[in-house]
Amino acid sequence: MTENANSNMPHQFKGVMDFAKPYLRNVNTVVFPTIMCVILLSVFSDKFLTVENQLNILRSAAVAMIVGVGQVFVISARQIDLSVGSVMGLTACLTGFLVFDGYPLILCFAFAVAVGAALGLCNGLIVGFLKVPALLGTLGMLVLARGVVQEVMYGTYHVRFPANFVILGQGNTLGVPNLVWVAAVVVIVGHFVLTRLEYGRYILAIGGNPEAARIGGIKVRKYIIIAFVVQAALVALAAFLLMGRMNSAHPTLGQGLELHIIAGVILGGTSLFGGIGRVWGMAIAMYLIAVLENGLLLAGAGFFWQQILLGLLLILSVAIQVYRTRGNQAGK
Amino acid sequence: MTPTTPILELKEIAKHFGAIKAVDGVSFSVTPGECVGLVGDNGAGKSTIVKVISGYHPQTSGKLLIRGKEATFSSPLDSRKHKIETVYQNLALVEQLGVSANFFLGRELHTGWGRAIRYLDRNAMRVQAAEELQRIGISIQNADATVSDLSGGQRQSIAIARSIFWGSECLILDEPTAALGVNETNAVAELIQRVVNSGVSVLIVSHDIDLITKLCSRIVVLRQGKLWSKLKTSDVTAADIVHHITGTARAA
Repeated sequence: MTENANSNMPHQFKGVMDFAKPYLRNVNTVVFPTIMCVILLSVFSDKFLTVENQLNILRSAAVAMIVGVGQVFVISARQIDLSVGSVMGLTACLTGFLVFDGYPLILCFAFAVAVGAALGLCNGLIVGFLKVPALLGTLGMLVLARGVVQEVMYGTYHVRFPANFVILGQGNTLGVPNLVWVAAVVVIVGHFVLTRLEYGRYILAIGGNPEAARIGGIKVRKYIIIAFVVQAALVALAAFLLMGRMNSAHPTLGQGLELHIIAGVILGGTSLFGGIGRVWGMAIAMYLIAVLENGLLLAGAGFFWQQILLGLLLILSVAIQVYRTRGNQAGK
Repeated sequence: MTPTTPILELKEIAKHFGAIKAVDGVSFSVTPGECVGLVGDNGAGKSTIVKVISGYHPQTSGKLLIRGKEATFSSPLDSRKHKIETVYQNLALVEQLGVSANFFLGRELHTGWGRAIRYLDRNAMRVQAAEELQRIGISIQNADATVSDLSGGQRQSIAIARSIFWGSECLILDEPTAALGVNETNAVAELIQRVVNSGVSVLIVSHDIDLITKLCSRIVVLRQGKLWSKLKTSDVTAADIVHHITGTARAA
């Protein structure tokens, strides 16, 4: 099929495709563009490669990286979670009440993770037991959770949290933002779990061939539910840190986050069709997205350009993946 | 269990899906070290029988005896516990994972520090998978190769080798040579012969009459969910078997 398509291509384009094929199929497609962007932006702007700017980029990418780790597991298992943005908003706003009531931070954190995990469990049960396709089940949760948080907050929002809470999101440790430290730990642990632990292997097996996993004695439903719970718990962790960073919690917090996360995960090499997960690739992709956003900012482009960029990246990443999948099938 | 006690015996097995009788009162047995063929046209009930034996579908009625003792399977794991392994037509391999990962799928080896910190022992799994493949004469250059990069014959061989590796005493092969070329079919047939020679009982479900007559000593023919005939391979020709399957011969 691919060969037929190639045979109809103009000569020059066919040459480019032949050159690009091995790269597209075998190399994590996000590494090269990231390096190119860093080089180009450092040429065009002397501010870009400064430590301060790089830490800013990492700080803005950190939340997406934390949430992205969970989404790598979910998508690797041939599922998807569209509700991450709404779960973030709801978790943050509910936790905000506890923070203002003066509860110990550890208790607030436990509450946030518990709320997130409970919402993730709902997603998991909807998909695992009610057999609702994840795309629609989590879309329902996206609307539902956003509705709940709007109702609870009723037009208000939390702002100016206590200083000991704010420091979690805004502070630095050894000169590096706390958010970045947490994201680094989550990415490393996520990579280890996916590649070295039984759970990660089962997730990949379920995504690759659920029937084979079932025959192999793997409890498919259980692992899918766990993936949704872990995803939402990581969203809660990110929400907790983001509240501190922004020193506020709005009912609109996290709106549109799902597209950002899915774009980064797919761009990072995780297969939209399941069975292949790339935690490092996702982390680099989130950095790339943040770099591009930063570049637009340095170039004086407005916020809407960031949305345009994100949309283009999402389409591009899925197109590359479809191309790679068709190429692999044609190669059999 | 005496040497003549069947390793697997079906007594009046029936499986109904609502009003549909997919399998109706089928009885046959497989003795240790024997290779038996299960044949029939599409819709004859072959796949349903395989799913009953492998614990995928519990039978509606009838008895399943393993080494002379009645057994009840509620999941594929129960079947495995009785050392019955099934290699399905779709092979039950995960294409995106490597050979060794598929070999140990669901039964991974671990290493680590004590019970608390345990992670996959990928090296041990790689070495053991490569050794086992070599032992039964399967040539795979790299046990880390992704299954999607292998040929159909190699995939089939890996699926069979995996079952043997896990101590199977009775192997159920569902269409083992479907979609394979001539050379790959011959290679898989040789592998199955080696497996039978090693003392493992094999039940082959196939439309490939040549393969069945080449490997099996007895043939069980199903038609429309019912047992139609039991044949000795030495007593019949390929044409006779086709007659039994398609419906002109009388039941034995």
